[in-house]
This record gives sequence, structure tokens and C-alpha cells, in this order.
Amino acid sequence: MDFSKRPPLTRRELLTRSYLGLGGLAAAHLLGQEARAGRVDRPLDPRPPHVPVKAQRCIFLFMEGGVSQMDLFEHKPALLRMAGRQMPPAQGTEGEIATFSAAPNRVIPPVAPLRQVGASGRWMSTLLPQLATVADELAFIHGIKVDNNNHGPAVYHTLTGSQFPGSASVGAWVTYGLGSENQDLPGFIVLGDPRGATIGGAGVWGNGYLPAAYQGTLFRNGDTPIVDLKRPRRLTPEAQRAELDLLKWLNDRHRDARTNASELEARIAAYELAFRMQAKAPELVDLGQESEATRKLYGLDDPVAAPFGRQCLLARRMVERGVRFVMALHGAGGDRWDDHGDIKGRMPKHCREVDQPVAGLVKDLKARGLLDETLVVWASEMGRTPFDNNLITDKPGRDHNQYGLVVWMAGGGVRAGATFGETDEFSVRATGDPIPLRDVHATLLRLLGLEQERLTYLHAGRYKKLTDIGGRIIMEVLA
Amino acid sequence: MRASTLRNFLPLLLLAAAAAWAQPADPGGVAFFESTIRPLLRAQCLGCHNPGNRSSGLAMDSREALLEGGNRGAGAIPGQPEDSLLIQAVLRSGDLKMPPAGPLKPEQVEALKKWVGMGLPWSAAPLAKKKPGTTHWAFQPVKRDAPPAVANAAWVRTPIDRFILARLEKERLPPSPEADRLTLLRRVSLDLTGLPPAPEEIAAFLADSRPDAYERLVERLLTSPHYGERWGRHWLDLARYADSDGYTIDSPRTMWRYRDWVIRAINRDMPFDQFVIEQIAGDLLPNPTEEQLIATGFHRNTPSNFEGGIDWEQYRVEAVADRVATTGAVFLGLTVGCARCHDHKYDPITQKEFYQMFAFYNQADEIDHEDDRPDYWRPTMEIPTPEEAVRREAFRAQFRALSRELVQYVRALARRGDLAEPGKDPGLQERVKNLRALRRSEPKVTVALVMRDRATPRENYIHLGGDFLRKGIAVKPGGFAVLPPIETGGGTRLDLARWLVSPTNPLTPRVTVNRWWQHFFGKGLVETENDFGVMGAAPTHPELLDWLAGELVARRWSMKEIHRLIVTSAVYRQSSKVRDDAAEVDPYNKLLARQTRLRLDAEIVRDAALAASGLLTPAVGGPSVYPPIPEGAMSVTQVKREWPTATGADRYRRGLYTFFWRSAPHPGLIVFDAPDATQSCTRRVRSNTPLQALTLLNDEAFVEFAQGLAARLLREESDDGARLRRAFLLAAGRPPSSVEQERLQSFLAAQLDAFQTEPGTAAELAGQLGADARDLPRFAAWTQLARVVLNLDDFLTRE
Repeated sequence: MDFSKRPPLTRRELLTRSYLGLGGLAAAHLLGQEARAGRVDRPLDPRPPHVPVKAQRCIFLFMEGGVSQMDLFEHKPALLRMAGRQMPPAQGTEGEIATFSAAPNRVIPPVAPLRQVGASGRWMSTLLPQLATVADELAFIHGIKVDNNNHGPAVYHTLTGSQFPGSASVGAWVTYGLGSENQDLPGFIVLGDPRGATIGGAGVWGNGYLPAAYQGTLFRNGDTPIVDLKRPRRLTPEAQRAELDLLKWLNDRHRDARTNASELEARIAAYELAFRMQAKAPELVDLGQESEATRKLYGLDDPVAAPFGRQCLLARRMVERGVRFVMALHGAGGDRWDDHGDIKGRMPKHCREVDQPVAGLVKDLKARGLLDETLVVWASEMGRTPFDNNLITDKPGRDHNQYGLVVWMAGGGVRAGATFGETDEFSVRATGDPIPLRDVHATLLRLLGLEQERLTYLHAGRYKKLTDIGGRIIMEVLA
Repeated sequence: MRASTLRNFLPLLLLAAAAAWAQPADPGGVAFFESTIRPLLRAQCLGCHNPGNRSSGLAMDSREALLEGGNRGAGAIPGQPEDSLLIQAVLRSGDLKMPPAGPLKPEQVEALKKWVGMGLPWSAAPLAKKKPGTTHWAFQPVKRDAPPAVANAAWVRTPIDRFILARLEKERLPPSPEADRLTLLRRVSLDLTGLPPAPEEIAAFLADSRPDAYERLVERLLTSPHYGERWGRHWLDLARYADSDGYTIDSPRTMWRYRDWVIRAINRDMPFDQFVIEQIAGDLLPNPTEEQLIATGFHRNTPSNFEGGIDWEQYRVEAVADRVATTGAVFLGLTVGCARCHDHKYDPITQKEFYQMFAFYNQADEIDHEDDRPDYWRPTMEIPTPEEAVRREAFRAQFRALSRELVQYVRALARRGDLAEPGKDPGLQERVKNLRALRRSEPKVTVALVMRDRATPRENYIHLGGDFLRKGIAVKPGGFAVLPPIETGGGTRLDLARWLVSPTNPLTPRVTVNRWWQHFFGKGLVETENDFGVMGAAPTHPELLDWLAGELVARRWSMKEIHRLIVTSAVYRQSSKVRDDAAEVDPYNKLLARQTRLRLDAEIVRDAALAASGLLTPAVGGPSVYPPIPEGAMSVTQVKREWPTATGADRYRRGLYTFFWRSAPHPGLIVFDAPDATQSCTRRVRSNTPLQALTLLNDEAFVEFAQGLAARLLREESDDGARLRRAFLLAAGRPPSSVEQERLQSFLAAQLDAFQTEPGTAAELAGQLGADARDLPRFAAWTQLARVVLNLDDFLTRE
């Protein structure tokens, strides 16, 4: 083909043609993929959503260990009626949902009373008095089914859409889809529990098959939140600036000697971003700038609530600065919500750790006019069983229940006060069809303006999606 | 009856008569089939269940096919609608709900019930065409066309060039001029060994005016022990190599023996067919050597979950399925893994064929039950390290000595006639106690994870929907109908391995040369390197791909010979500069009118800095090592893991030897797009992020490299001009221009000034490596300069 004899094509046409010239649909898809990822060299540039929506950013609160749904959010009188007696076998508890269990599976009553709160009259535990004050802002989904009844796979499933390691985190997907508004900070930030690591390790905020630009950046405690953020000891900002000026001068000359070196341009930009990040990230984590009232709102005056309060307050400061996705992890080591034993003794502590911080976050976002633009999600990796799992007989606890996960959402685009899904009288599983977790992921994407079918990445011959075979958007919780 | 009416009826009568002859004597049934069932099957079922697609193994185009059934067994049982899968599926009463788009109308379901109840009457007329033969290019035999004629024959250095140039000439696009010697030297050194050329090598190459200087250089690089490290690491990406189990517990495991086997095999230029056979089925070769057993570690690199309360069988199945998918991606370039839950959507690979290949791998003697928990890594083999061998020998000697002494003591007792109550003899008690204590202190020996099949074979069957708990029909080890058949003597992995590299299999050589090409040019001749199926990209130069594939086989599968061919070609030796004329016509450089700029791979960023700094420990192989890691990087694992940071020579080993924890990979690797080792990685993405800049600017390891480079410059050269020149040669493989030199000089002077006023700062920046420097401010200023050159785009990029 002689290109010189044909009318000039636009660059876009040329790209499309040369891609289609490769043959298969997969090749054509690569073009869309690149378009979605923005210019290859500016992976975090903000991009418009697929559909117009209100929520621009997401704070994902993850309670690790398996939160007991019937102790916090589901009113089940049968638990009181049957307390201490053997669980009726007709409830389908045999086998699949009770990995650790053996008979007699005695029913445990709620660890604390539940009461109806807010205008919606939603049931909520008295262990969450602060969350109760914002109950009308929240929309609940009950009876969600997770693919696995063990923590590791279930955590992967909740946070990456697949129970096996290696997939992209939900935060990576969202950042891949939307880029980020603040170029001086990572687009996807993870706030770990200061007491220890999450069960899935770095994989739960990993980029999986997506480019590394979308991997979550773990913020650590202290004034060096990012790995290698700090300049080498005693290297002054001025000295480093001098280095970077020289580097930029050399790289610029190198670039000028060639045309079309967009990735070289990007490298030069990345150094400037890194330099700014060194200044912006410590400022971001400096909570000294917050008023006494705000600190109190997040429970920083209560030593029990302060650690997660700090994570929640940081999350607000991040979304305020345009960070696209913040994941705050709660629960680590022996302090996870995995209450196999002594649930009565342990639940009040978990609740006190998060109640004030989470309620404070919702209130603070609202007061600052940010709640409308922010999606707040609360999730765990599974629910729990109504009965004792016989591990500790004198201080009973509940077993895992992969059919009992509760997720709530609040903020932009969420129908405040809505409830979807219902579990049976013992909260063993949904009364109708179980709600697959991918439905929740599809809904989350939609609330952020992303369509699951369009947010794809070609990997190993498959168009990978967060929702795998596709989920149903739960319209019932959308405003 | 009028004649015309009779004519209208006649075909139906004939049809009925024909049907009556072949089917239950019920012409009404055939009419019912024709009027009601045939349109229903055509509209609702045959789209997927035709002889070509056989979705779930089932075709519904004939009575026989329906009776034969698919992956779940018979499709229908004549006369028994309730027990027929077809009826259960359309009633949507079980887990199978058909058709997938939505339920049939109640009257349609009733009609199907009635039809099955009638005994499945069928007409002779065919319902669907026979399965079409596949014509997709990748499944055809490798064709070896002679390299084409070209106009500009003077440009041609190897036959490869003819294929590339012929296409360029067709597009009237001239190739780019050859890269300058320094660029070429750095490119080929990095591509073949992953290390930049040393200044002495640069000088020698520049001074070598022989016409074959470049070819001599290539020979030297191909025989370098670092060649095996560079190309071994590429292979380890495919092998999903890591030093720990993965999942949540993520215990360390010994896989480095396998890693070293790969390096050795590549350095020896083991023929690629043998390389494949030993890794897939080394244990099944006659009298396998220890090396051949270690090679089978290839498929033992799958992650393993040993969490409490898991279903072991689920994770064993997951590993086996990964081996099938990996075999597809690595050797066949097919997305075989897509057929795990259903027939492949695009390629002619059925779910049944997935499980036929699964069956080859299904017999590994891996843990599948809680009772076997203590032995969770099996199958393994003991391979003591030299130190362990010494310790074990010492132990054995000691054990033998104590045993001998005990025996002698007992004999002595016997001689004295004191054996009546030997248990009460204090001397004997003492000796028995010592021996027991020694026994408990038997030194542990390293084990390697290997492949070994179990004695009692497992059943092989289709897993419906990919679910290991849902059994479909039984299958036998076997291949894909679209490819040449696998000669299955015993249906073992060895049969599979031999088939992968048999002369009749067109895919393995094509996929292999394509991946090598990808490493030399940034992308393959087939851009979708892991998908040669119908959805993948077509080759940009199909004749070249086939020529190279044929050449690989003809040259006894020698990897080095193909690499030599490629790097000595004119197309490889071109400049990488983007030309406006070429960019307009060919923005993605598919026609290869130039070379490509590539950011260094994660490990090579480290290696190149280590080499420039002079700190590199060039040792090849051995247990994985623990170079400095950023503070807090190991805090992300669920089970607390140690990172015993190396202080000696192991602190400066190449990046491929860094211990790889799956749950907490070294940030210096992951930030630069190293794969996470959960699945086979056939191509790394190359991203560009500020976190990469932070690593290079601030990471302890890189500060140390800069100090090393500073020390080296001060030591090896005596004046600043020569030092600057050397700094650039070491980091960027070229001398600075005079303008650059000038600017660097003034930077150096300014920094020296600053450090002289603040000697304390200088001492800090100089660090341990600067401790001996006589002139600390000077050392610190040079460290800063070294930091700049180790961040240059020239440094990070292979042009």
C-alpha cells in the first residue's frame, strides 16, 4: 500500500487502522485499553466516567475477619427464642457453611440488644451508638454470598473480585478507569491497620494484571507514609533540587535530540511528581492541622478508637485532595472480627474501635459537602453463623458464614435509608436467591460512573473484569 | 383428491415412510418432530450445541448425538422425560438452566417433554452442517518459504533481514541506519546478559577495527555465564517462580535449585526440546538424574495454600488447572485456561479437551487430604547443600561411632555375664541416652519441590462449570482435535512433553521464537504473544515467523543459534530513533523500520546500577539473598517474616537472586513491573510512575550504589574530567558531550562548596563506603553526581 497517494488520515484513524491491521478483535481491544488508560505515559490523568454520576471518589472501609451481621445489623428474634438450644437442622447449616463446626451447634443470642434507629427504623446494635446517629444516610445490602468460607480466599474475593491471588484490586480497577484528580499523590491509597498486616498481604491492593501505576500505595504510620519517600539522610531539599535540576537538564537535552519520545517526557514528569510527593505526602498525614473538634469527631481522644479514627480522618483528607480510592483496613492478627470464641467479650471492643471513627467520617464528609461526591463503603469478607462453633465452650463464638455478608454504602448516588436483601429467621442465608458479591462490585463501579462491561483489560486472551461473568447492579440502593 | 394436492402431500408421505423405517413406527411422531421440535431445537439449542461448537461437549443435531450426550452424560433418555437432562435443563429445576437467555414458554417445555416421552422420534433430514475444518493460520503446519528477494541487498546481513526489508520496500519505507557502536554495544550487552558493558569492554570494542568485531562481541556475550541469568529470568517469569508458597501463610520454600537448573541449562544451550521435556516430565525419563528431577520444579512453582480449614482438593485442582493454562500460554500460545469452565468462546478448544490435558497433570502425588498435612510440600526430593552434606556426614560419622561403642559396650557386658538386667546398668543407660539425643539433632537437609506421580491413579473427569465438586463425564489424557494427535502410550506427562516439541506441532516453535523476538524488539511478530488463537493478532511477518520456527527445529532447537541470528541481523542493529516519516505510516513500528527504546526490566535496573557502582557480586546461582529492603516493606505479611538483610557479598547480588516473597515482594521489583508470580507471565508491562523515581532517588540500596560509584571514580581516575567521562560511560554507556561535561563540572563545584561548609552532612551522605575517603566533602559531591547519572534516562533505557 502506498500511503503517499492517499488522503492524509488523522492520527486517530491511523492508530485505529494500524491496530485493526493486526487482525483480531483482541488487537482492536488493545486500542480501547490504551485509550482508557489515558496516554500510556500519563496513567493517572483523570478520565471521564462512562456514565455521569455524583460520586467521584471512594472510601472503602474493610472490617477483616468476618463481621457478625446478626449482632450488628439484623434483628432475629429466633436467636433469643432458641438461645442455647441446638440449631434446627432444617436451616441448611449442615456441611457447606460450617467448616469448623461439629454438632450440637447451639444458638447464641445477640451479644447486645438491637434497637430501631433513625427515621427508617433500621435495626442496629446498641454497640454502635454513634453509627446509629447517621443510620438514615446508609443503604444496606443483606444476604451477600462470598465464593469461599475461609478468610484468605474470601478477603481476596471481596477486595479483588476473585478468591485466588493475582487479580486487580477494586481500587486498582477504579483508578484504571478514572485516573486520579491529584497528581501529587498516588491515586489509590491503602491505610493499613497499625496493629498488623491484612491476611492477603500486598495482593489485596495489587494491580494484578493491570499496569503497576494502578497498584495501591500502602501508607504507613509516622511521617514517612510511603516507602522510599524520604530523602537520604542529611540530603537537604535544596541539594536534592540541585540534583533534580541537573537531571532534568540532562534528560531534556536527551529528549530534544529525538522526536516522539513521549515515555521520556513521562519519565521527566515522574521525577517532578516524586519531588512534589515528598512534600505533599507528609503534609497530608500531618493531622496537627485538624481542629480539636474534628479530632474528637473521629474519636482521636479515645485511645481505643484513635487508631481507626486516624485512618478515617486521613481518608477524608485524601478524598478532599482528590485521591480517587482510599481503602482503610481494620482488624489484624488477634484483633480481627473473627470471633470464634468469646464473641460477647470481643464484639464490644471491635465496635468501639470503629463506631466513633466511621460515624465521624460520615458526619464530617457531610458537613464539608463532600458526602455527595464521595462513596463510602463498609464491608467484611463474610458473615457469621447464628450458632456456636464449639471451639470454646464456656465463651461461645460464631463460625464463618459465606452466605451472610452485609455491606452498607453511603454518599453520592446512594439511596440513603434503603435496604436490599433479607436473610432467613436465623440469618443463615438469603431468603431468596443469594446476592453474589459481584453484584456489589457492579453496583460500586456504577456509583462511580464505571460500567462493568466497559471496564475491561485484555489479559491472557480474556477480557478481565472486576465482576468476572458480570454482576447485577443493585438498583434498589441507588438514588 | 386432486393431483396437485397429492403432490403437496407426497414429500411428507415419503418422509413419514422413511422415518417409519428408521424410527419407532410412529409417523405422527415424526410429523410432530418436524412441526414443533425441529424449529425449537434450531432456534433455541443448535446455536451452541452443533457439531462444530459442541458446547459442554453436547451436539443436538441428531438423535444419536443427543443420546450420546456431552460432558454431563446422555442428553435425553427415550421415554423418560423426568430423568432426561434436556427436560431438567429447560425446567430449570437443577443447577443447569437452559437456554441461557431465559426460560422457554411452558408450551415449549411441554412439547419437549412429550417428545422425549414419545421416544425421541427424529426425521432423516440433517439439522446442522458437519463441523467445519479449521483454517486458522496458527494451526497449519510451519511453512518454510525461502527468504524473499529485496532491492537493497547490500543492507541484508541475515536471512531475517530479507523478510523485514521486503515488507518495508513494499511500503516504500527505508530502514533506519545502524545504531552507533556505543549504543549497539550497550543494547546487545543488556539484551544478552542484562549487564551494561564495562568501560574496558567499551574501549576494547571501540578499538576493534576488524570487520567482524560485532560478531566477536556477540560470541563473547553468548558464552558469558550472565547470559543464562538474563534469559533464565525471562523463563522464570513464565514459570511463575517465587521463593515462598503464596496465599496467606506464605511459608518459604526451596525453589532456587530449579532456578539454577534453568540458568545452567540455558548457559549450556540445552536444546529447547530437551529443555521442555525435562521440565514437564524429567521424572518420567528412564533413570532420571538428579538434575532432571530438579527440572520438574517448573510446574511446582504454583502457589500453595496451607491455611487451616481449607479443602485441600480445591487447591490441588487449582494448581493442576494452572499447569494446563500455563502449558497453553507458554508452549502453545493458546488461552487454554478459558476452556476450564465452558468450551472456549473463540478457539476450537472444548471443555472436554481442557480436562483431557488436565488428566496428564492430574496424577502428581500432591496433598489432597487433611490427613497428609504434615507432608504438605510433597512430592519433594532431598538435595543437601554442600554445607548440609558436610554436617550430615559429620552427624552420620558421629552416629556410627556412638552406635559402635554401644554395641561394644553391650558385648562387653555380655562377656562379663552382666546382661541379666542391662536396663539398670548406668553405663548402658548413659550410652543409649546419648545416642537418642544425637538422633534428635539430626541436621535438616534442604528439599526441592519436584514432580512425581502417585501409585494409584486419580479418576479423570470433566469439572462442570470448572467446579471441582461437580463431576461430569470421564475423560482420558489427550490433546486437541484441531492439532496433531498426542501419541499416548501410557497417557503420561512424558507423552505430553514429547508432543509439545514434536516436529508435527506447529505451535511450540512459533510461540517460542516469537517470545524471543519480543525480548529483542519490545513486541513479538505476533503481538498477542500468549494468544495465537483466532482472537489474537495476526503475525506482522508470517513468513518470517515460520522461517524462524523452522530454523529453530532445523538447528536442533538451539536457543543460542537463534539469538545469534537475531542480534547479528541488520534489523536488530538499527537505530531506535523515531523517524517522522516512519511514525506517520507505522506509528507502532510493526514494520520495524527502527529498533525500540525499552525501559530496563526491574531486576536489570538494579543490576545495571550495581555494575556501574563496581559493587556487583557476579556469583551465579545459590540460595536467594536478602539485599536491603525499604523499612516497613515486610510489615504487609500476615505471618511475620524475617528479612535478614545481607551485609557481605550477598548484599550486592543481581536482582534475580533477591528472595521473592509472594505476599511481600521486594518493592524495588514490584514498582518496576516485575510479575507477582501468581500465574505465568508471558509479557511484562512497562509502566512509568513517580514511585519508580522515589525508589531510584531515595532507596537505601540506590544511595549505596551511588556511594560505590563515587568511590570507584575517585579511586580509578585521577582528574575530574576523566572521572566525569567514566561516570557517564559506566551509567549510560557513552561519554558526556562537552556541554554536558561543562554543566557537570559546575554542579560538582557547587556541591563541593556546599559540603565544605558543612562537613557533617558530607559524612552522612558518604555513608559507610565513604568512611575511608580522605576528602569527605569531595566524596559527598561525587556521590551526588553519581546519584544524578544513575537516574539518567540513558541509564534506565536500552536504546
